[in-house]
Amino acid sequence: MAQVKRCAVYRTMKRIGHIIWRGAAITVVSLVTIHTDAAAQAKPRGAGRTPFVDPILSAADSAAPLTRYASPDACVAAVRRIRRQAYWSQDPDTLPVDSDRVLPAEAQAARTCGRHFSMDSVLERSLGALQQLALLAGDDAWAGDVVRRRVTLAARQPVVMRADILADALMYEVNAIPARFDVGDRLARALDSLGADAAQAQARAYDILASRAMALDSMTRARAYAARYMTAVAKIPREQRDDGWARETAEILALASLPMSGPLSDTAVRHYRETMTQLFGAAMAAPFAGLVGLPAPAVTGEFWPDSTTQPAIRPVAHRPSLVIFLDSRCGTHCVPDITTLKRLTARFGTQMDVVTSIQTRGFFRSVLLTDSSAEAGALRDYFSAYRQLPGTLVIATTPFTRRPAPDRRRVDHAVPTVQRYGASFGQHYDMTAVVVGTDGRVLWPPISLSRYDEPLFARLLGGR
Amino acid sequence: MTRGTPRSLNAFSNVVPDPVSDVVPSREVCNEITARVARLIHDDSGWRVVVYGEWQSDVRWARNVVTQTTGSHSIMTQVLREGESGAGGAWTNQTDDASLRDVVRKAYDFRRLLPSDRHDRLIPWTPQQYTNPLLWYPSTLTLDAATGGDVARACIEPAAHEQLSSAGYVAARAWSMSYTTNTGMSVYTKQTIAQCSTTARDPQRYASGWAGLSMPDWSTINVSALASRATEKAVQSRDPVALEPGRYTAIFEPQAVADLLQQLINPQALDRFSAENGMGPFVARRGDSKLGMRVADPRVTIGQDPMTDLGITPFDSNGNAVSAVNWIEDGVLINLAYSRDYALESLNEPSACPAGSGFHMRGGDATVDDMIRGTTRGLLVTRLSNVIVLDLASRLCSGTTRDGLWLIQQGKITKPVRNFRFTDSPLFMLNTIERIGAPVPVFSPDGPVRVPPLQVRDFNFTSLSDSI
Repeated sequence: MAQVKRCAVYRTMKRIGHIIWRGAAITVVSLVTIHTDAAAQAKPRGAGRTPFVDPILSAADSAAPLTRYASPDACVAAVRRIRRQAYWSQDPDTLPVDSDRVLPAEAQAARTCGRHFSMDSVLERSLGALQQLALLAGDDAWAGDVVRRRVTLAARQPVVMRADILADALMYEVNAIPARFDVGDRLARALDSLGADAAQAQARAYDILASRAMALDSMTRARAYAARYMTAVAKIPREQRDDGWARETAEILALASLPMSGPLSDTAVRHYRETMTQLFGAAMAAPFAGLVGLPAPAVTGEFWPDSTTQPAIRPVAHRPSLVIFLDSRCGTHCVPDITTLKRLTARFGTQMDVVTSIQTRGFFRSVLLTDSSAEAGALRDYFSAYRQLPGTLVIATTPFTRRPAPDRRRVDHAVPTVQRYGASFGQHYDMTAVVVGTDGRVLWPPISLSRYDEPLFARLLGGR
Repeated sequence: MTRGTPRSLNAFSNVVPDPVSDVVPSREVCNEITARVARLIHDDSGWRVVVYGEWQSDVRWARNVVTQTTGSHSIMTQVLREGESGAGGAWTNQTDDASLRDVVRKAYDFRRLLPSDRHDRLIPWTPQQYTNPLLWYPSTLTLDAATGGDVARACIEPAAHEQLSSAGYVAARAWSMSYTTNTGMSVYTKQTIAQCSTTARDPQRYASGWAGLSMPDWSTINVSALASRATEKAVQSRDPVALEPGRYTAIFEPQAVADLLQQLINPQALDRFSAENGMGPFVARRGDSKLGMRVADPRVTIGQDPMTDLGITPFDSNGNAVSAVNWIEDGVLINLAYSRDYALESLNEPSACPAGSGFHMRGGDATVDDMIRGTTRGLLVTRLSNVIVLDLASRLCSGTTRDGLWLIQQGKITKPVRNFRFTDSPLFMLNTIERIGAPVPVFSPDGPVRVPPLQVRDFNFTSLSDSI
């Protein structure tokens, strides 16, 4: 109950903060203010609240005025800085994160900056950046003109280079907010017409389309693109294939066997495991495919810093749960993931349970902490108190040995939770989440808690 | 101001300067600049201020005439500001308030431009124990242009007497450096270095001799001895004969040992993280370094000690204390250098173990004459030049012999020989040692080095070289 209250109060405070800060941020950015000492040296918001706050990011962006940028590429970089700044201004307890919408200030900056360039004055290699600016500005007609210009100029190039340019243009359209799948489809068809010589670019294009479609919760579309990806790949000599794309897209095909809503049937689980094993081999598939359909193992640890009472068994029964694996070394890298988690928590509230498992390392953020309870305290201060990590934090003391001198390196051994889950997820630079259904079974293979998978999480948690 | 007394750098400050010792910023001046910078930072971000001042003077000569004299003073202030995910820094060579304010803001802006996934935390430091070696020698400050001219004359005259052409330089440098952080850590050092390098060549015939030395204390450098040595080597190396390339027993004078060993004993090669990630000469197998393994002849011990008279700076460029440590002891690799991040993460220790600016190698009791007497057929090598690393893993190097190479037959030097290109590794040299002499300081402008002469078997001279 205390946790629910805390979340409610926190959300209310944030909402008030958003109103004030959103107005301020848009004013600051859209008026293209000149950076001043006073702004730069301003006392940071929240500085008195926490020792962790980053005062540097609280000041106005000094990239303005935008008219000074001499190329579309520089404009794109400036607009991205403005985006980060604007987001941080809205949500001061996190570092800037990406989102699925273009901010008004961002679109305005893209328009202001892009207005100085015409397609004739821009170098051919900068047309991609100009296309990005047009998409950021939300001006599809302008973007269409740029794409047509790129296609026209590409016609003079050999097939392989022409295909690369088309795939590049497709990438910007599909990764834009919102994704322009119609333009992407047209460009993909143009790529298909180039024949087998353009197979590399075709594969790249369908990989982009499939990944983006899946991120946007459109598995039917993703499956279709993944199948066309496989067709394109078949045309590429084996030694020239990109294994990274192949794994990613093959996984989309395998995931197609799992339902995103409705009950998880044993047949679906079996089919998924078989496909994964077939595509990746038993050893590589096991840590991911092996968990799906099984009862979620218990999460345990010595420290439950957020719990005032005897900790409950996690994950809890009769509620969908997210079991998060977080590495304490993941500082700012994980902030966007934490923000994704906050959004999910805000959306599902008490209908969902979140438990985050961290293990001790002997240090935290450049400070040596050989005492586990001291490290647990530091982790609580940072993740729970400062980062407002939702849910229950569980900290396990990592058993370790040392190599004999002169090596003396610390060798960590698996904590019980990791042993039960079969793999140490979420190492270093990402937070990995395992989705557990109301029946206590793992619904989906462990995935990074990135914003790209947020719709998938929402569907899995809410659809059952 | 009297002759030989450099201009004080402290004229801008309120601190009363000492005209001799304050050619570089004193601790008080550094503190004053740091305090002014600190007053300009109004938020509670982490910061570090480095104040670096330098004075230098050098005289160069060639073809028996002085060709150049230079002198310079400079003072640099670096401000580094840290946010949660990284640090950004900027330098200025001005000390007025407006410039300092500007550099504070630039550091701030550079920090903001860093991607948010950077993870190079520099602040705070853990309290450290710094050694306090004697690094400041006023005698070195007397080496101004006029004194340098005298040195040039002392090197040119014996060469000219033998119809040789002399070239070289003599240089003195003094610098001071202070590191201060917002967490209260502060460290300061000031030190001097003098160096003299002289080459004598026969303008008509194929002959060259060289001698040189760098030391913190100018008074310990015997210029006339260096000049005589260079001249003597040039005279004795006239009209060399060409030998077949191949593997020879080689007697390396200390300078040649240092020239090759510096490719192995340096911060990059000694980096423990690199070794454990498969890079560098001390990789054992995937994930492991050669720590604890024998890597050299059991008579080899190489280490660093800031308390020697070599002039090793007691902290590294990040302010980590440089401590006395042996890298190789009795032929076994017992230590590698590591950063503070490595110490925290892999060892759960608070402090780094940096490789300092120099090293020393333990010696034996043989003399070069003993080595020559004990050699049936071999080569005496003065020094090595243009040494480059061909293979980072084995530290295989290539370079040429220079300024004096002689054939030894039946225990005697019999004739000068044309220079060779060699292709071999310092690790091979350390594993094929026959005899070791007494260690001496050598010419090493990049960092003080004290090494012995070595007699090494089967050193690989791969081709003739046209170098003189």
